[in-house]
Amino acid sequence: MSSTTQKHRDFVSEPMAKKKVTALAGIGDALGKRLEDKGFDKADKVLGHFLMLGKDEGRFKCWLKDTCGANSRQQDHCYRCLREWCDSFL
Amino acid sequence: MPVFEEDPAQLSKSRLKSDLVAHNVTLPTEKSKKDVYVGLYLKHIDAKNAADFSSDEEDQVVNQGHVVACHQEDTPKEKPSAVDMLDVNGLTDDELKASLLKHGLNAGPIVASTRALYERRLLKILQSNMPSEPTVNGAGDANAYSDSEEEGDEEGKDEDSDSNDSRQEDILTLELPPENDKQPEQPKWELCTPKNESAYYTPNASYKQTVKEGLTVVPTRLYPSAVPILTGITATCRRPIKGAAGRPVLYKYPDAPPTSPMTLERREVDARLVPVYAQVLVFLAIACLLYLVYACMEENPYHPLLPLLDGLSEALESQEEGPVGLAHPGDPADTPVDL
Repeated sequence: MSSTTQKHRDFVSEPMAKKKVTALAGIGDALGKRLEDKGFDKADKVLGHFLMLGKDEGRFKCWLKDTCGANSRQQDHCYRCLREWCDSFL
Repeated sequence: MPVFEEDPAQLSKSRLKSDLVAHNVTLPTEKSKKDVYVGLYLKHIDAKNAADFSSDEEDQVVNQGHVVACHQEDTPKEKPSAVDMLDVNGLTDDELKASLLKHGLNAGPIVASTRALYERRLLKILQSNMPSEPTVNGAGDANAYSDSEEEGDEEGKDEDSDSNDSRQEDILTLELPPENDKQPEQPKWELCTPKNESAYYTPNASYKQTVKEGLTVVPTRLYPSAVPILTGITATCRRPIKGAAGRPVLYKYPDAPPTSPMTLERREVDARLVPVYAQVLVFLAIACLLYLVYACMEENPYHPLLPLLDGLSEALESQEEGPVGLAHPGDPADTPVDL
């Protein structure tokens, strides 16, 4: 299992509150801007979509790729970050 | 026959197409996104399930939907709401969001599940903008729900024919009272779309194709050879990722990031280095001078500046003798050195 990044740990350690979408692991400035343009301006909206997709890894990663052009590493980081957040707080 | 309980978003696109055809619904542009089909499916198929909609507002929408579904009725009259509904279905997600924003509704992300909701909201807004609301008389609204493929409705409606020629223009030239307001916004919307599409690196080729082909209806305006993107970036469709395997940035893309912020900063720093060298040289010169002065003060006998030393030594001698010849200690008799 690969080690987690600092961003991942920061995000998973507390409720996401009003964090921006760039607070998600794997989502940097460029991807964050694209997500915001699509309407996902906060991390909780991405979470909402993640839950709507049934927390399914394949679907979420596919959606992320289509929406903001994330590569597989970024998709993986984002997915694992959200999944772990859900495991801790939902 | 479709099962009414089935979620249209989960059906495949071809399935949706066949269902729409089965219900005598004219298909939108062939390469529309699935969401368009989903929206149409919801409208027409659900129009048969009037019981599903419980709220009054949605009943009205259902009435409209009934009218929409009844393509058999070809009325020559064209009501603006008909155009609205046609357009709402044909809008892409971005356009729908933009139009919602234009009407003051800050919509969230438009996804398959939220699209129907936002389409209905936009319809409500558009209808509320209208002075005359033919909500009850649904028969008059049957016209021009047809998409570009249907030519039968063009009875005495030149605008219809014009609008059917290019559905993209139709979206932007709604026959509403504030039509003039929409005109200047046309280029903005059309620019927004290619900007969104070309700036995004969407590896999903089919998605890009659908968007491209959906926009080919107005090819000249939307896809000129050099798209005037608002951000100033003229990116090609598929630019490989910089720095990826076998594509080092320096060699493959000498011009690629001409104005990236990092290179700009580096150039600024480089520009400052020139005066720094000059400063270093000046510093060295001053250091030399100071060293020389220091050496003079030491009265080093084998220092090259002998005249200075001689002058100093003579000053000392003259002081020893007395304050007689202080002004100019250079007495030729005392100084055997040739000057």
